[in-house]
Amino acid sequence: MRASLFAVKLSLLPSALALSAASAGATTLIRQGLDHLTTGNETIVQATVLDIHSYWNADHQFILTDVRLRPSRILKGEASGDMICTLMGGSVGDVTTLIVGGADLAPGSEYVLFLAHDDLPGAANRLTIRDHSQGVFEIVGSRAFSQAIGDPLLPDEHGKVDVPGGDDGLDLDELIDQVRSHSNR
Amino acid sequence: MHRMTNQQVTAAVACACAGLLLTSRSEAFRMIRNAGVGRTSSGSTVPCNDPGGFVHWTTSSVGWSLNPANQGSKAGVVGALQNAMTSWNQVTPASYTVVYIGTTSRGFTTDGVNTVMWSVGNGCTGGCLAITALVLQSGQVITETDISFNDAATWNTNGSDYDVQAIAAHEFGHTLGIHHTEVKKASNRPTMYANYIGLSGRTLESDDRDALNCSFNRYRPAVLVVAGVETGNKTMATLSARPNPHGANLRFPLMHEDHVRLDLFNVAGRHVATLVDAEMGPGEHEVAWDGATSQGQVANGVYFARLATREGRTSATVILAR
Repeated sequence: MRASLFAVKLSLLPSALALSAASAGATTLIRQGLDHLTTGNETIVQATVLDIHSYWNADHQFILTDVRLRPSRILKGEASGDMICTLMGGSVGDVTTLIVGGADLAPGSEYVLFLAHDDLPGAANRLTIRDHSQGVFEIVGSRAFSQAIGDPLLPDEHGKVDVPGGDDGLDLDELIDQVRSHSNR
Repeated sequence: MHRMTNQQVTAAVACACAGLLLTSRSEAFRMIRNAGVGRTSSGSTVPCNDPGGFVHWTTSSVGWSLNPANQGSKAGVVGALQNAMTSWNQVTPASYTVVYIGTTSRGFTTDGVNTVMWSVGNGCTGGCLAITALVLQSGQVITETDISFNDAATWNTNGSDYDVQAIAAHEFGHTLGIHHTEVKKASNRPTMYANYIGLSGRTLESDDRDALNCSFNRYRPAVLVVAGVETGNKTMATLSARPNPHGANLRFPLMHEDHVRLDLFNVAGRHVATLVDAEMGPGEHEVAWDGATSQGQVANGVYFARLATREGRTSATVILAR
């Protein structure tokens, strides 16, 4: 079953596969369905990454990265104009802190992002992607692919281990409808 | 917030196995590659022969300290961590030595100390059970790693979910530069897949061993030093390093007057500076380094400091971030 779906994706969306295969998480994560992702995060947006800026935190003990986003759709929560989310890790000079399994965002790319406030090392109450690779859906054409594709997620309470949409991803409109539906419950 | 019970997880794993793709092929293991500047860093998955290389140590000995706060103080945790380290140490011909040094108060910070801790935070809450951070120099050279277990989950050392040894073995694999394998078989799954729940997750499979041997063969460690640790023994002073806005501070105590030599090396093992070469009295000493050498200023990055006295040597990783 999964092999055949994978073959379909290979034939139809080679560029999308290449994108999703290039980055994968490795931190130990329990699978989060769209219902949990939606209810567990306060802000959900479809947004393009404008730029990123990495820096040492105030204590000079951890590298953080501010990601400037330009939302095109607010699916949950409130946002006006460009917004900043902060991720752990990044590169400053010749030093890189790499969060294995962290969200992998590139300027110019468009994503659906699940955002919440959390305390990061040396930076309290920052808007961040708490669910790491599971909180990022990369938009390719009219589809959205979870960045956790290929990750060995621990099963959720329903025994599911595949990311929402699986290897084929989700139709973007379907993803948006599902998020709004879960958000309104 | 979503939280599974241990019983739910055990049952769910049994259900999930039947649906997994039954494939097995040689060299399915994958390594972690620093995706580079210009995007946020999570590490991409690459095969062993990727022309761009992958993250790796340049030292064969890697020391770990445990922050005993929270569930880190549970009985059996140290033994579980040591067992997980031993599983990787037994891989041959690779000859990495991952060792437990002792306890520390350090946290999820870039401080030259490889630390395992239990915390609610550090970017690992909710559905995250454990998170690993790698500090890299020159693109792909690992100079420090930290692992933070989610203290909101229940951790055990008897094989029940969540088993410290099993998940530690998986996370230590990441700290050695190994990503998730592409092997997806129903039984005897590699530790670097998802089979790290329960007793079976404690044991490395051939795919895991092949991954470490791949790294060893491609980046054979040239220098045998203990990196990223506060080292020392009952008579030898400890050495610690902490970045400051102008460079780094290196601190060490002396129990009595001694001849002290404090040298700095880059990640390639080349000597870059001698900060101290003198007789020093007893007490706490701190030496600031702003990156100056006889050849001028060095670039920001990671360096190794070596403290030598008549009683022995100790080392620490220095982060220069001005």
